[in-house]
Amino acid sequence: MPPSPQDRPSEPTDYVLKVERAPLYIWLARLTWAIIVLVLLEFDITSWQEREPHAAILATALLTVLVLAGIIVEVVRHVEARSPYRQSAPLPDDEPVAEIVEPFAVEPDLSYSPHAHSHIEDAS
Amino acid sequence: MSDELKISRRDFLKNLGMAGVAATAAGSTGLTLAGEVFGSTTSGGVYRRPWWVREVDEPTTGIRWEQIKRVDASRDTLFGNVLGRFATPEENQRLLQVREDLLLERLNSEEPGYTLKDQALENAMRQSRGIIPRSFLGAQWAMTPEQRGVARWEGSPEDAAHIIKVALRQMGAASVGIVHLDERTRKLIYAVDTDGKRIEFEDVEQAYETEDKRVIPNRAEWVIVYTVQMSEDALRRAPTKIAEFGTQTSYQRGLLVQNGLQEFLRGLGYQGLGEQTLNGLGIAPALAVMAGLGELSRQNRVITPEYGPMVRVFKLVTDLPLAADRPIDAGITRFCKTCKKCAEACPPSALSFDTEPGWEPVGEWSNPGHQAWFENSLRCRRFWYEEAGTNCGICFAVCPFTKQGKSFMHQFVHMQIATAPVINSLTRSMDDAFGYGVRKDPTEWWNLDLPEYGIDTTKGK
Repeated sequence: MPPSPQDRPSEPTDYVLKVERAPLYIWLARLTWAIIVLVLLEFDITSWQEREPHAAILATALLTVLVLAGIIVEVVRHVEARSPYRQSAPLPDDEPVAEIVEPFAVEPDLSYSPHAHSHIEDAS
Repeated sequence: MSDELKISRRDFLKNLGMAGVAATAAGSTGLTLAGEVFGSTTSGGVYRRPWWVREVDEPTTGIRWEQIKRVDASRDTLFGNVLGRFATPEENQRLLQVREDLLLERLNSEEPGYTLKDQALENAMRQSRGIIPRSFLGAQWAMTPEQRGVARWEGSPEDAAHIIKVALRQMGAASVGIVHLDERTRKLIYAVDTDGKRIEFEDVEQAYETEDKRVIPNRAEWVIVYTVQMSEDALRRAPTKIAEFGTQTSYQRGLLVQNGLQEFLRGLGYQGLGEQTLNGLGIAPALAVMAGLGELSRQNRVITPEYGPMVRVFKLVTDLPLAADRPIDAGITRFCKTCKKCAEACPPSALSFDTEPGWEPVGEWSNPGHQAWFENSLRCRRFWYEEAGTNCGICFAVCPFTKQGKSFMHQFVHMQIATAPVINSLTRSMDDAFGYGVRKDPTEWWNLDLPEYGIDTTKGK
């Protein structure tokens, strides 16, 4: 006879660590961000060396914004990953492509559907 | 389909989009970084040029060789004689007086860039250039192979071009190109030099000079064209005596290089026929374009891929057989069509605002037969005398190609200009937004920590 849920101990003894890989587009975005940050950093430093304060200040501002934006996005992603809302069911749009392409086996639940051709019976 | 390969439509599109963005960022950065690895060594010098500087058969501005005639530089240019024949002697004298009064007034009011130390510095360089020998035939002091008891140097034209370029770089030239003199390119040598002496080609072994002519042997078929850098830090203070000092130092170094090259060629057993007068012998921008040193710009001057317009061009004819270089296309002329920054910054509006370069000169100071943004040289010169009190150079200073070249970003932009001209107007706007081309404080120049001659000799390598 299989154990019922009531048979489980109240305190869990096992933990499940769920490791999720970041999708490819996240890694590509990080790579792009890193390249732009490096180029901007080099531009910032060399603009000071070139005695171009206007360009250097602008580069510093852009660099600061970009670095902060990157940090904020990563923090938000980190917080979001621990959110209980992530356990909720995926949106219909997130269904796998393969399942969308295949035709749906539509079986109307007649018990909840009105009759297609209902008629009003004579009250008499 | 297995579970591992399943991907939602949204994620698929996100991956695809980000792959495009990342490939663009990484690819363009990588191509710029690797620019010189894939570059050419055959044009413009012995150093590698990045791959986006392409060698072409014809210059990027058109030439109708049949319409070109050799120029009388003593009559049809404005070298060193105020407005020359384009104004009366009285008017020329008046302009000289106006400039003198202006400089004295600014000296007394201690206007930045015109103080005594500024004027003394510029004048020192101008006058000291006069004590350096300058001649068509060279000093002829170096030992010839004959005097050493050996045969003259022999080698392939490629080897000869290589050693000349290496030697010139070590003497102080920034970039070097070779033009082969044929029926067409001979037209770029002045018919009459700036001092009034005729320049003739004759079937003789040795070049010679008389009271009324300079003779180039027909066998001297090669022109060595070289540039000397100008200090960007000095020219960014144009128009002041600091900026003019920058011009004078490059002219002086150009002269020293000429003397060295003439003696080097003599030591190899060949002739080096140089500029007897400042900017003499031939049309510098045209020869520089044919030598692949740069492209003709809206300023009607040459802009080089390495140094922008911050160069002075010098030339020397030789009978040492050399491998000729070809013109280049680095997108510079094309960029000038959309930029127009120099024309906007020119105080006397001497530069053309036309989008396309034209064929009709504005005045007789320019020669027909080639496509250019012809400038109004009289307006330019009048501004020198009536307003600046010095030479000008604002068009050089504001040019987006005028950069110190320390930043990778400048190389990146150069690659974009050569390969993706569709965003040239954005590049011009960004150049403004980042504050490039803004005139700098002349007083500050005296406190800058500048390298020797105020130039970066590692640039363009």
